[in-house]
Amino acid sequence: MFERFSPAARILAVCAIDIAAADGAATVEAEHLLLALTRQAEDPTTHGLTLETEDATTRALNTLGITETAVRAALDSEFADALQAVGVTATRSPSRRGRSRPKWGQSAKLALERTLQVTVDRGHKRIDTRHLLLALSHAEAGVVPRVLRTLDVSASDIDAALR
Amino acid sequence: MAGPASTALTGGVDPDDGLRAVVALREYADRLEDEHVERAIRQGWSWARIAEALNVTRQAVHKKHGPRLRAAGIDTGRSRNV
Repeated sequence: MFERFSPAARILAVCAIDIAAADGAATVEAEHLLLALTRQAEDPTTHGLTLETEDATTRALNTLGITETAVRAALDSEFADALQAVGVTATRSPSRRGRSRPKWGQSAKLALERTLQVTVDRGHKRIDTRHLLLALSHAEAGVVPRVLRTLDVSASDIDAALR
Repeated sequence: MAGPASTALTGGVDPDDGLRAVVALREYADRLEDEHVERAIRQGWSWARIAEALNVTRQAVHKKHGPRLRAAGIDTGRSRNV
């Protein structure tokens, strides 16, 4: 599947692994893909983003206010809220060390499968970052949809911003 | 930091919130384990004692935490002989 990825989408996958490792996560999850998208959009020069498709992703994220800072804040409050719902008061402690090699987690695998599906549905050959952003917005449950709700961004907002 | 868990387990909680909470609790428990194993090792606990406290085998706890702690430059004592 990765062979169908655009260069920026490949860099994004690596970036997601780096973010998960730096955060001390045991697995790379869909939220790390979302964080990687925001990081790429905020610092395009270091990620070699020159294609029009990547510009579209950057514009959409900017339009919707989906920045790395905003996503991280939403992740923290979502985590605390999730535990609060079952009567546990706790915050996500910042990890003091990275993990060397997080594996792909189920939510990221699902997101990548959906990314391929979005690409095929649109009749595109290359998987680029637009498809990934759309796929993330299609998740029915889990952290990413809850975080997007916290950010007050719907799937149709993302779809519209990419057009 | 952690408060008491609700005893009215599913009481009124929406499945989306409840199932998400299960995942968040697992992550939270993993983080707690990381922190407390590190703390125990720093205080000179043996792997055997940590394993007994966690109710797992010494091999399991060592496999899970040994490489990470050694990579962080923490002296894990007899760990290499496990």
